[in-house]
Amino acid sequence: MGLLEDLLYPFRRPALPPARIATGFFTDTTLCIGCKACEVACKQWNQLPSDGFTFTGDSYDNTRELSGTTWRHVRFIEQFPDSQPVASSPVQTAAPDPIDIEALLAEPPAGRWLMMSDVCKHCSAAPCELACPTGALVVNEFSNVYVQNDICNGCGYCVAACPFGVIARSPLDGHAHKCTLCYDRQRDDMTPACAKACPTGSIQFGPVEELRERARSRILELDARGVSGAYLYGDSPTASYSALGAFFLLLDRPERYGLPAEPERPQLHMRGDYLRTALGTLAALGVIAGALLGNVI
Amino acid sequence: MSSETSPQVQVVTKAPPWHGWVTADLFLLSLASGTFTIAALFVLLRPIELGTIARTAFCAAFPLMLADVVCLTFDLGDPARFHHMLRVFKPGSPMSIGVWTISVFSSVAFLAFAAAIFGLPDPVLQTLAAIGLVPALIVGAYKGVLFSVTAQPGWRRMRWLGAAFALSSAAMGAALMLAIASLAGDFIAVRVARFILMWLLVLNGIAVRLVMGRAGASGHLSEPADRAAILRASLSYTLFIVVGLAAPLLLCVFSKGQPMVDTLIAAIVLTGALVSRHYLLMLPHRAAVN
Repeated sequence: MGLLEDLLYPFRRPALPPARIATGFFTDTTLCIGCKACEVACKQWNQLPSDGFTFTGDSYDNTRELSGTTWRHVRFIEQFPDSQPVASSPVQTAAPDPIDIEALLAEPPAGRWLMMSDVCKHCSAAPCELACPTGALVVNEFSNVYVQNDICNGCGYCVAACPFGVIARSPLDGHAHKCTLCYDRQRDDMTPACAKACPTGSIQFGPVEELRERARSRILELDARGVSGAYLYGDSPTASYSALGAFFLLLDRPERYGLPAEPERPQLHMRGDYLRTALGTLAALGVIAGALLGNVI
Repeated sequence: MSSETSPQVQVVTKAPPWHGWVTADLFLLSLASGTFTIAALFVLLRPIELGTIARTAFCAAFPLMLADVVCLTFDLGDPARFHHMLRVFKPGSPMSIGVWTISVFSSVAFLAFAAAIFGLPDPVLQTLAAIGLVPALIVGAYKGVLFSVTAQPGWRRMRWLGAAFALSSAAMGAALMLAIASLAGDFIAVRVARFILMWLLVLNGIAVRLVMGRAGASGHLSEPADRAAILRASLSYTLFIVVGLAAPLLLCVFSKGQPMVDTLIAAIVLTGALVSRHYLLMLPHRAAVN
């Protein structure tokens, strides 16, 4: 492309594809086994580079967070009593007590693992999309939030706007990146790579309304099985935030999973902030005009 | 459950990748818009007494704006795509509003610069001043809203930040005008600029109090991330408030109009503005390392 074409290209607007059924993810954390197949599948399909081999010391999590090059991230939350130091045992002379399976099964669990495959939430009213000054972030025909990489100029405002800390600027090309919900695969009627790779059905993909129904049934099923405290995060809008296109079934408080307890749409306060700014501006104008029209001179 | 490897209280958001270029942008944009605003009002309301000094100020405003555009471009991840900002106009995005207003303002600032350089008559300059005044005021203030309508700890509860930016930009313009007038030996302009600066510093103090003042009260600091971000910077902010606002204010009140003191006042105000902008920009980063 020549220089003129480079300049004009972003201003061209192709015809929009017709709207399709809104799709999303339902992530059932009770089914996640922390295998990271979703992370690998996402990296592989989207040709994302490795983040290096770093030992974080944070359970089995060596990815740490979603980033410009990691669009799926499995969180590991270990909830166990403080570990006791293991004394060096003397040579055993007596035979150990026989193991009673029934007694072992009856023992209360010492703790639990929480695992969750985190991803872009594809918010119904996405702050990143609202903030984007270039129009690179759009809501596509599947109602997913999508970054047009040929348009993004890496201003970083979407990063500041996202209350979930999902979208990030990649150091490789300077553009913002995040999960596309495998837009290319969806257009060919294929399941997103992560959901396809998930061996337990923890990551479920489909029409978002259908997923919500399925998720509510799952809560009832878990309750019937005696798993108390399961709830859905982001399946419906709150007073301060829209519903999420990628929502979760959780067993503990959202903060434990690295999710905000009460996400807030940053633009909620914009009108009031502009009004207060106008007040400040008027005050400044008043001082200057007062000095010039008064008897200072 | 007594232990977890993952922290219980953590900053969920990512700090935006804004550093040195953006600090320079915040400073230069405020200074350019403030200088243009003061010069525009000088030439509109007192062309006879203050027209000459206003022309000098217009000559300063445009180069400052030009330097700012360089910073704005190089703070992007992909500077070659700067013009992509102009593909859409989104009233719901303060950055989009800012970019379009900057485009208008910098064009008018250039014309005013040219008119001042070539000594075009007052009515030409007054027309350009009238056209550029509103964009200049918006450019000086919009960054406050740009920050406050994000999800970032520290910024997201600063409801008066836009007002603080508006007053700070005007104060910076008045400070530069004071320095220019003082160096040019224009004593009428010095007197006016000192008076304006003094009152703008007082109002700025009130605005900073409104931005930071609810520290400790419920709401502003109820979230640990906000508390961490703001308290870590509180000492620096206290220093900024004392040095950046009180010191020049006292010098304005008690000095006898010596040119050296006036230049010192301007230098303190501008240094305070630069440092405070840096601390403001770094708030989310400070929260992130908590």
